[in-house]
Amino acid sequence: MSHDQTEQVPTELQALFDAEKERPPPESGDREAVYTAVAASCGFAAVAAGVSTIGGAAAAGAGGTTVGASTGAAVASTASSSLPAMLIKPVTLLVFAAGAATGTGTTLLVDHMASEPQPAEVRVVYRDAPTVPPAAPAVALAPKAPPVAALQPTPETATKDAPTTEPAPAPAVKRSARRPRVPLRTPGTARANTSVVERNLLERARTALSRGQAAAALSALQQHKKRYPRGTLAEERAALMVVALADLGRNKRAKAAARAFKKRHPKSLLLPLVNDAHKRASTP
Amino acid sequence: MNVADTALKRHSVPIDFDQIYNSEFQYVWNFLIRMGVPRRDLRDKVHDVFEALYRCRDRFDPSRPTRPWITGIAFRVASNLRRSASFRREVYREEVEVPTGALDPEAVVQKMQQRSLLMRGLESLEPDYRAVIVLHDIEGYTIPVIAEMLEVNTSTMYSRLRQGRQLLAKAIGQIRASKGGP
Repeated sequence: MSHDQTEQVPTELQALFDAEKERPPPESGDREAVYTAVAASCGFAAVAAGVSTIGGAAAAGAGGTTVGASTGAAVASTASSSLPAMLIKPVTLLVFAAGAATGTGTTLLVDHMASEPQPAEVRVVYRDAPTVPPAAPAVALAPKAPPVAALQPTPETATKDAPTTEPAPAPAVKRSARRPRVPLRTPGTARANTSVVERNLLERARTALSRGQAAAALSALQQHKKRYPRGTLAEERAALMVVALADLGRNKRAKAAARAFKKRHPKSLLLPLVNDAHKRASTP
Repeated sequence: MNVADTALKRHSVPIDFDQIYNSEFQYVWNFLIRMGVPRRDLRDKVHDVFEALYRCRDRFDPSRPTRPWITGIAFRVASNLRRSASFRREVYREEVEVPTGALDPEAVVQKMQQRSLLMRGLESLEPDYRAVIVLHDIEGYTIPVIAEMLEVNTSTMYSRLRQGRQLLAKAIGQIRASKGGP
């Protein structure tokens, strides 16, 4: 280590630094618990599939709206194979196409690995809670309709979307089917109150952005702004807005939005994102 | 393919979150401890770092090294926590048990005490100063790299390191004096 331009460290401090460098590694329980928590709050399970198999999934999605049970099952299997073992063992994944069940409220809904016209949504339901204890139920996700009914395909969807591989034994999905509550975050924080719909809108914007469809992203963001002007994800929306504007080349608005964002959220975790977009908007 | 498509192309390769998680978990964990995140908040805050990372994933260029990016996030998480109104300090305690088969248990204990002393000394530093000491003197990064990680210019970093070490040495001196020990 060459410490250019820096003075020598006093020897007694150096001894302390050396001891600190030998800090023992965290326990594996910590590693797994945090992973599970991140999985729960980001809708991680399907994302794991989305991240590692995005090419294949996008290709499957390109077929349009006809992503049925068979594709769902395929995604499920890739999801399981790419998930770390610790998540799979206690969890049975149940994947089905979007049309089969809107409004279960219990679903852990994640990536839209879909094509433009009608995004096929992949829902992942935890049938058994993972390793975490079934603590206080997740907020705002309590199902109004009995989840059992929701799981069974309605007559018109049954014909084309019938899950042939997974017969979905109804009683298994009850209260435990809700999103696994990971007791790391103190209850009452903003994220717990975020509705699935609100989050989906942003997720749609994000997906569009990553595909270079900035206009589509912007429209999703504007919709979000209209519906949830003070939503819990307002900060994230504002950041994505800057990015979308910059991507569209609407530099003046992008810069104004970036400045407003930095003023309003000076310590935001999304600053790198906003700074990056600001920079792009500033260089012609 | 329109202009936006080409501009974003380099970001469209997805990052491998699991791989980043596995390789960076320990780094983030230790970094947050060294930044003074109390044990009771530790899991929660490491979670926040990886969640933020996950949410920014589209914007990250996978061809660039992950460390500076993740360090920036972790630094903000730690300093936001310490600046938050509800933050309560916690007296740092080593949680390590001396392994029974240790070759030299006394040395292990001494190292633990040294770590404890260092952490208590670091408590008296502002996050900005603390971070540069942690990254430079413990993690071994050079000042220009740290300046990039924390998005602060290099000369500021040099002066923070110098001042930070002085403050730290003073704080540690006081702790030692108050205990009457070495």
